[in-house]
This record gives sequence, C-alpha cells and structure tokens, in this order.
Amino acid sequence: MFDEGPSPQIAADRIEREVSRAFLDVVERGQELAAMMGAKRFAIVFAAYREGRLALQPFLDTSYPGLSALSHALTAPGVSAELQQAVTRAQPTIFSADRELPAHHGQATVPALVSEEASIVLPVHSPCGRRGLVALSGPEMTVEEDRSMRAHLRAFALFRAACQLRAPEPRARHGLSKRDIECLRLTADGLTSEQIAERLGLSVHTANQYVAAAAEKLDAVNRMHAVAKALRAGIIS
Amino acid sequence: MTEAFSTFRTDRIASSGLRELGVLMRGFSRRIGADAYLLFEHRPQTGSVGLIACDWPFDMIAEIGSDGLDRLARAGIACAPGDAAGIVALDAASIPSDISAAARDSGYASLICQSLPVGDALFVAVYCAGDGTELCTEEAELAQMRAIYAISQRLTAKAEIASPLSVREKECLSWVAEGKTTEEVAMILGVSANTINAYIAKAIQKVAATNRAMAIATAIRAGMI
Repeated sequence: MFDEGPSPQIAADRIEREVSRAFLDVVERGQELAAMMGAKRFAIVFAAYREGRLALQPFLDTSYPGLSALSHALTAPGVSAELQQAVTRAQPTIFSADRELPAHHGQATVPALVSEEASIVLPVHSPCGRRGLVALSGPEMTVEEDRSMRAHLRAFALFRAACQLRAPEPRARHGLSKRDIECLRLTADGLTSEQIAERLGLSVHTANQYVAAAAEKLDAVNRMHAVAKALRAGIIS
Repeated sequence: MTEAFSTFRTDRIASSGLRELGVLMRGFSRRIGADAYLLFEHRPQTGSVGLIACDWPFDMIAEIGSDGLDRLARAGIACAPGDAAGIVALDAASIPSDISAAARDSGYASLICQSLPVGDALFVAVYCAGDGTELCTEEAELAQMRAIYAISQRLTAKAEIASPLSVREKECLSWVAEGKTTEEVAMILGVSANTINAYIAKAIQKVAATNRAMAIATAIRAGMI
C-alpha cells in the first residue's frame, strides 16, 4: 500500500552482494594474471611494520572466500628471511620448485614456497602508501624476463584494486566538507596552519577554522586527536 | 624564475649508482622516443626533491624549480606503475600552466611523468618529448618497471629504515593521538611533563616527522600505534 523503498535488511544484503562481486572481480583479474605466467594460483598479501617487525597479512587469493596454501605459506608466523627480502627489494623473488629456473635481473631464486610448485613473488605499492606482495604459483610456471615485467605492472594495478576493496570510500564522512578533509590531510602531512593557508590560498585564520571544524565534527578534542580519528575511520589515508 | 632550486642530496643511492642510473635513464628515454629525462627522489611529506640524474635543458629546470617538480610528482600527474604509460600533453588540464610554459619554451610538447616506488622511498621520472614525436606507450610502461628495478639494485643499505619506537614512546604517542596534552600524559604515566616531551620529541625524530600531528599520522599508517 505504501511504497517505503527497500527495507534496511534488503539494502544491507544488496551492499553485501555488491561488495562480494567487487571481490570476485579482483579474484578473476588475479587468476588472469596467474594464467599469464602459466601459474595455477595467485595471492595478495599486505605488508605492515608492527612493533618494528614486518608482518604479512593474508587478504585475497584463488580460493576466495577461503584462503589457499599459497596465502598460508606467505603469512606463516615468523616471516622468513627470503620473504622479508622480497618485501624490501623491488625486483621479483622466485621461489623455485625442484627444477632449475633461470634467474635474471638479479632475481633471487630460493626454496619452494608451496611444495612441488614454483612461485614468483612481486613486491607492490599503492599510491596511498600501502605495501604488499602479489604471488603467483604453479607447477608449470614460465618465468621469462619480459613477461614477468609485464606481469609485475599488472600486479601493481591488481594491488591497487585490492586496496580499494580494503578501504572503500567512506560513506559516512561525518559531515566533513572537502575543505575540512583537505586541511586535515595537510595537517597529517606535518603542515602548520600557516603552511596550509599558503598551500590552499587561504588566510591563517580560515585554515585554523577548517581544522577546528573538522575536529568538532569528528568529536575530537584537538587536531592530533582529529588526525588520528580521521585516519582510523579512513576519511584520510 | 619562480624560486631558487633547492634539492637535498639523496642518501638512498650510492654515488657510483647515480651515474649508472643516468646512463640507464638515457637509454629508457631513447627507447620511449623521448628527448630528455629527469630522475629525482620525492619526499611528499616535506615537498622536497633530491635530484639524481638528468639531461633536461638547464633553463627548463631553473624555471620549473624544485617546487614545480614537487607539484609534478603529486598524484594526478605522475602515474603509478601498471596504471598507464603516463604520457600527457602539455595542454592537459592536470599540468600547472607555469610548468607547461617552461617546457614549451624548451621546445617540448609532452611529458611522461611516472612514479617509481622502491621500498619505503619514492622516486619520480619525468621524460620530455618534442612536437610530432612518436612515443611508444609500451616502452614507456616497461621503462617504469625497468627504472624501479634499476633503482632497487643501487639502493644503499640504509634505505629501509625500520623505526621501532620504544614501549614508552609508543605509549606517549598513543595518548597524544587520543587528544591528551603533555600534562595529561604526564599525569597518566606518572612522570614529569619534561620527560613526556622528550619521549615525544624522540618519537617524532624516529618516524622522520616534523611535528606531533605528522608523527601520529606516520605511526598510525605504519601500524605502530
């Protein structure tokens, strides 16, 4: 009788379906990337420094919504020296199966990650500053310089897509305006009110007002608190 | 000239590597079909640039200045690896007019601007090409990956700075991130305000920040607090 639009439950279901479809899209792209190298599976893991130590966290792989042996091998507790190096260097690291694989551009070849399979581990970055690894693995990998370089470029793009899944555009901006967010972002970058004013062509008083407004909308007591809250809520990155 | 050219001396790459990178970049530039290259390290937090190698005309560098390079390096102009080749015509809206004017004065019609993330550092390559030059998109994409590998092989050992904060420094920073003042943190931890300030100053230094807000942002991003 009354058209009240979809119930909140239906709306929530729809959002969930959209999210998982976006995940499946990335899985499909990852699988294509693996196929390009003759690999069977792929995995995307995130790298973070916690307590001053490198930690690798599983995110997404061929077995989505589960996790494959490749993700488990990459994120086993106590990151191996080989994997630590794989994150630190920019070149691919090859974890060879028993048979020999040729090494080029100083690519290191180290013992197998998944038994009976060769893996190529590609270090990746996102423009928002996240770091991780895209690994491709299979019994019949073909590692050849030109193709691995192209695969690496696609791995960067894949990782960016994964980052977007991980931190979706914040729906609730807590009523912050574009200017509020911009001033907050610059504050997080270490700029003083004077520098923000100069960068944005505002008066110092106005710049201060934006930061104060942002803090108030975030229910923060000062700008340090506001920066921390905004980062944790994904309003700035 | 817009402003004096100020550049820091990069400590990420050994001095022997600087010249080698110059030779390699020149090669990439030729393969793409571009006329000149410029490679620098970018520190977006401070907006500073560290010149590594370049064969741009001197006038053009002087006119664009370090501030111009900083703006070129920012997202929206410099393309990330795997994104696209990064070729932009000088009349594109994304290029600031003073930069396109300087490039045009030197006879260029397009730029290729690529960001090169290596470990925890960020480098940027900017190639210039004249009017009517055939640029090879595929070579430009591959050059981005090649440059990343080449830089990575020449990084100095100190490039990966692990900055583990001590338990006390982390505690202080966490409380400041909760909006507490120095005096409040001193009360919570039962030490003097001077001690708290010293811990925070040390933490700011360790995460290479310039003030408290930036230290908190850096520490949260790195998952330290």
